[in-house]
Amino acid sequence: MTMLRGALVVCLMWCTAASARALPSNASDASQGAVVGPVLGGHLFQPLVGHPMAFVMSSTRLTLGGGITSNLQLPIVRIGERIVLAPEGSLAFIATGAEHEQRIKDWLSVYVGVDVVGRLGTDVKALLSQGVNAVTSFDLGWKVRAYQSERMLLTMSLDLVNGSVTTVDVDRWVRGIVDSGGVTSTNPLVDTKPTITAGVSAHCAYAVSPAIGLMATVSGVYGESAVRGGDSKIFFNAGGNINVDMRPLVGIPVATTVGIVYRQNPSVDDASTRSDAMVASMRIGTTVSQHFALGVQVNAQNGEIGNGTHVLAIGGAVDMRFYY
Amino acid sequence: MNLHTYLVAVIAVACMSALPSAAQISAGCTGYAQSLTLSGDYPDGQAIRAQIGYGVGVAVAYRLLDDVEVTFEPSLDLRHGRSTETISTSASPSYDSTVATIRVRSMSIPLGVRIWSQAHTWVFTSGIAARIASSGMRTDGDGTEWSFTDALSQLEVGVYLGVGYRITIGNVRVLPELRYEQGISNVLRGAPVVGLPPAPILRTNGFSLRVACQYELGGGQ
Repeated sequence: MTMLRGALVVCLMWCTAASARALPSNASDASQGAVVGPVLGGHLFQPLVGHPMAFVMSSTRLTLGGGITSNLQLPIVRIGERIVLAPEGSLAFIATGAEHEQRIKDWLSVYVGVDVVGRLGTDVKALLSQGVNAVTSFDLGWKVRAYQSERMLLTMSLDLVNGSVTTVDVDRWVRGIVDSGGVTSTNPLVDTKPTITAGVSAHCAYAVSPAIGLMATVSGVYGESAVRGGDSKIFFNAGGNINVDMRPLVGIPVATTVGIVYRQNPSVDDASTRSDAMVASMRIGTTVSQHFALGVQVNAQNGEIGNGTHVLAIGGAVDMRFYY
Repeated sequence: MNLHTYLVAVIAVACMSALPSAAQISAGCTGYAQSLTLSGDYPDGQAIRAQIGYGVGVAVAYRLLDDVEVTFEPSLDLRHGRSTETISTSASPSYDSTVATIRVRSMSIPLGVRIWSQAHTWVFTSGIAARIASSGMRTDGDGTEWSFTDALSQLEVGVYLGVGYRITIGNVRVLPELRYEQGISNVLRGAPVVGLPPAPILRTNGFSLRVACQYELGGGQ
């Protein structure tokens, strides 16, 4: 349903895009027409998945990725006084997403996006202990330009994320059966909870030279707990990246981007806690055109996945952006 | 104060606010059909599917800048849905069976902006959609009716964005618009509701196709 809704909203945005193209351009638009992509100070900025772009522009993003953890120490599964499992295992996850941003004015754009992340236990022990989690999110956002000079751009955005967290918690389900003596509607095996968050972000892009660019984002998010009965809380995220384009240096249309982001997320296990994650990313992409960006990204994430368990996850993604 | 009194008061305030600066004001009426669902906490295997609801009200716009207007569109609003349960049998593919129909009446008070294209034909709209609940009714398959008016939140808040096109006929402009709305707050206040889990959370989201017909006071552009 979320995917369908996302697709319909993307269609709505495409209508806006089509209408914008149908309009006669004024002198200002014509002058900006020469620069289509995220260019500032002669530098073509490269996107990094997980790092919002600072630019107010029309673009479409398609991302497909996944990852894996290994030698994960999973929590002990105990029923009554008996330890059923004290497993080690691996978790694999897949992620896919799409987003369209539409520039309404040169100072305003709106965007919609859909992201799906699925976490899978790759062996039976991991499944029994951690279950299978899926997180879907439908994003709506508004971005406005606050300041722009030849080399620097500051923008602000307002984001609304309507998500849902689905867990298949075999451990909890079995405990519930033991405690209640049977299967009850209050102890489902598959549990889906909707959550909504709203936040304000500040983005900055700075072109050091035609070859080097910096981007940074800071955001504050007010969001619901994924556990019913928990209070809404404020979460903070921050990140930055540096982008080196080889074309101005040696004429090769390849760019390397390295970034790090810190995220606070509501815990899916405990309403009173949050799970923090630090993600380091590196992307290699082509800078052959201002009209699109194509890159391969590798991520390393160190974060809490619930029950006090920290895990290092390695993942990768193929990311495409089209600029209009 | 009932809904009709609210509506009359809102229209009166809107008309009075139009008088001092007529050239910047457009006023008229709006009507819409909407397919808004209530998404959130359901029992296992159930969902609430959107059916066509509708609304009618007044539409007032104040031109703030050459290409930016502030809009205020209070209306009487009906959301219509059906609660379904997925039935699986070995003999046939799974299908949705209607368990109940749901109707929620409210006073919708969208406050937003219109941002016009260079040619003032296409328009992007966005804003906050507040609703004051009036009544909620669930009708089961056997015809039994349950009121859950007391379980509805007094004030419900969402955001919307849309795209429209302007058709000008003299000083009258007709604005067809496709709008997406996403609820932020819970439609319910947390009290038990028949057919839903304890302390349920439901939010409105979906599309509406609306047409505003507005007279440009003092002449248009």
